[in-house]
Amino acid sequence: MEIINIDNASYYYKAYNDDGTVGRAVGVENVTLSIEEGSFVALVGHNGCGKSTLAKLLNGLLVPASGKVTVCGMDTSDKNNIFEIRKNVGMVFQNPDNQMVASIVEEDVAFGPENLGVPQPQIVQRVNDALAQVGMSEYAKRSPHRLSGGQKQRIAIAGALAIQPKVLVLDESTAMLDPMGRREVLQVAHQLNRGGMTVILITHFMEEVLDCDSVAVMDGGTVVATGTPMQIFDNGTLLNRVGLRAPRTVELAHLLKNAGWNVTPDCVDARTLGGEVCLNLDQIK
Amino acid sequence: MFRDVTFGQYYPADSFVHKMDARIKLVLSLLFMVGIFFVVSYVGFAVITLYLLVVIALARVPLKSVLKSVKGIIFLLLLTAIINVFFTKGAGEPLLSWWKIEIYTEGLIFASKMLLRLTYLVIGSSILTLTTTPVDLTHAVESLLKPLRVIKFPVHEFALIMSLTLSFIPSLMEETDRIIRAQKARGADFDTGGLVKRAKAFVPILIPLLVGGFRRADELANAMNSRCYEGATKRTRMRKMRLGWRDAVASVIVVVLFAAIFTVYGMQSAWGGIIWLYY
Amino acid sequence: MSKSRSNKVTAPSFTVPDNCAIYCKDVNFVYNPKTPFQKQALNNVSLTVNKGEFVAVVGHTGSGKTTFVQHLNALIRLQSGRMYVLGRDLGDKKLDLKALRGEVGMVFQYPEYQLFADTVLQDVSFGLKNFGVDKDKRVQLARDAIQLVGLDFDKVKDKSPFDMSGGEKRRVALAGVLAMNPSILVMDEPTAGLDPRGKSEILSLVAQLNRERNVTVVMVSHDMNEVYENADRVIVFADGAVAYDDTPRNLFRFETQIEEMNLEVPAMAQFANVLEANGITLPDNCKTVRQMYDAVTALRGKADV
Repeated sequence: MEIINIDNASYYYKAYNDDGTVGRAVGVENVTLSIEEGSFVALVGHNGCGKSTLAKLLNGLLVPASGKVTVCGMDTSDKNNIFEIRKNVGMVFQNPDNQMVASIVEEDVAFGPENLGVPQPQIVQRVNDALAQVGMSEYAKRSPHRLSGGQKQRIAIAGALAIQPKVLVLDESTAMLDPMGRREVLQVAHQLNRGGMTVILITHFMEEVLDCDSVAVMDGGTVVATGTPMQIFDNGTLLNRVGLRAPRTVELAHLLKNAGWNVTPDCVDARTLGGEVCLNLDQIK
Repeated sequence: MFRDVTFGQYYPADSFVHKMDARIKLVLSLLFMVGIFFVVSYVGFAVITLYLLVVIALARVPLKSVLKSVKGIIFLLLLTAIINVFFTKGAGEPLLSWWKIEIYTEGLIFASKMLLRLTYLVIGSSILTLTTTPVDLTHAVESLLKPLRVIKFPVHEFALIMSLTLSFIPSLMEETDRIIRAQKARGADFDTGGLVKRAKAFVPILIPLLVGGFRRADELANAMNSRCYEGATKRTRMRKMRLGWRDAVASVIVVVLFAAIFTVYGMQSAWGGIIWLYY
Repeated sequence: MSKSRSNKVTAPSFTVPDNCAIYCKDVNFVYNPKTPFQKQALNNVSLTVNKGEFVAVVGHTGSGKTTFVQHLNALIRLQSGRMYVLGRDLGDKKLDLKALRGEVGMVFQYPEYQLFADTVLQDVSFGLKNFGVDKDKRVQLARDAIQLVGLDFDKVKDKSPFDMSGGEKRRVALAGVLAMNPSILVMDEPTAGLDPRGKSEILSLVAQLNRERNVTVVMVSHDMNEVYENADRVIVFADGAVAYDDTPRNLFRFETQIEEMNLEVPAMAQFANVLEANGITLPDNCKTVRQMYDAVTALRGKADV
């Protein structure tokens, strides 16, 4: 079932031309995209390609200038829907320090349900559940300030979960993290997805895209390609044009396959690929 | 160094005082702060000292962290004391006289009492912040200011701003520290030159901080909106502020104590007019 | 403080070899000494970096790597041990900080957040102005630096740095450091937050400076693939001490140890390690995908014969 529908949506930012007149800059232009409930979708593209603008269209932080964005059957341009839409779309942003509203972890997670007017005993329940889901229960009473980047982002995810959304949007939530932090966040995202959550992962780390159901590639404000991760990785010309590159292992596997080696072209693990290459060399001997 | 500042200095523990309602703690602390200015006699100071020791013991905070807050403003305290010593004139012969400076016994006594009062004031407020999270303190302020809603004072917004500010201070400190280092690495010099030059030297710190502040505010607004923030309407609270037996016990004891203090010293001062505040 | 002085007294005749850019011996550093918050950040760090080397410094958060690199231009002053940077004694109380900071360029994490001036030219010239370079020379050096980072000087010089894109801002910030023509370039995660193209642009610029201008590079990084492909040598920090100091190829043979330190083994190193375990030796320069592909193709060529 479709949970989000983006129909030919465009959004422009106000921008000043060199001569001082007011013009506009493309945020996104004529984007059409459908997202299935329960899927794990990656949105990739270089910085400034419009992927974060698109994210903000998903929960009505921005409203399209033309076209339409529908979330759970509700039009985001109708102001009466905004509250209901945001209840369904949880969003986590890039900078972990800039989305904390309280100086105690559990207080921060409680912010969403407090806004919704959830009765007190249920808030406690929601906060505890959300923290458990991201594996941060033991940090409930701590200050977020001393935690690692990955832990902070897991708190931010818990903050979104406490609203009990159907969709979780990670808007470059891994961009500022070290590899360990990125792993933590992705693990949580995949685990939530297995529990039925629709996840939209916005990123430019192609390694993170490997385990997604589908990928939408953005460039210049539009979606230029959609497909499975492997379909996208196969298209070297496309990736090159939009300034991305496949994970190194996949790149090497493709090169070898094209040169006639007997290797799995979609190999994502360098050690497996190494083993395959050894077998090839043995056979030649 | 900036990064080591632990603002609000909350000391986590599971004590009698920690479990008390923040509103009661705030009110009782205010009572204490006013009360110590009524105390005059040595017996009175002894009682207050005993009171503080009991509270510290009940709060299970190390004496060291309590004294640390005093250490922070020790210069200010000593300065006040010294000024008091110099400017208090006594009735009899001066104890010491040199040039225009005369030191009287009364001055020394008055200054040391003042020093003690101010020190106790700092200790009293630091016990409050050591045992109460900034969040609770904010809630307490919001709750105590509630009556001001009648005059359209934006109580909720005021408390929210207070809480956001508190939660941003640590990262703001870090950011400032990082910018200072970065500009120093490019040869910026904050320590030499005249006033104008020094003031100018701060531009490369202030502008990035300001720009960063706007970016932060923008991102925070997005994050808050995404989490269904809509102002005070129909908001609920996770933290239930409930008055317990501890609050009742503490309130009774503290109120009785200070009522006694007010009565004893208030009576004494009845004939001395306003002078009780100074002696 | 007293310790560094006593060190000076015990080793007055010590001279650093000419080709040595950075020399550290038994460097210790404690944050907030003698307080409850005391924390040993560096523990007997000894290492040398030769002029013209490209060294990567890795280690997870809190390993001491940031404290270490901030010693290099005396943003953090030496507490104990001996440290010489470009022949200057960092334990010397009368150390000429300005001269040192002019020679050791330091690029912080997210350097674009430190931009402040009205125009790109002013921002890039800030350091030069502080180091007392006269105006004409400043413009010339700033022009060189801006062009070096791949921006069009005439187009961007009067622009506000705040009107530029994220990647461009990063390059302006980098130009602000490069304008001083530092002999050592210290960078704290210079590619953090950039997209793949932005990353490779910055890295190839750094590699070019290292290769063509013989700039000594010390780069802190979390991206082991990036480290593997670019560094001559990797220094691994763990718990404030140097855990490994080796070439990337040798280092990443210790897969278990690397992963125990919560670091990743680069993809091409994993691949090469499997081949080596099967008795196939690869040349040492197989670091990028392309190099690896060429090497493996050559192997098949040999096997075919």
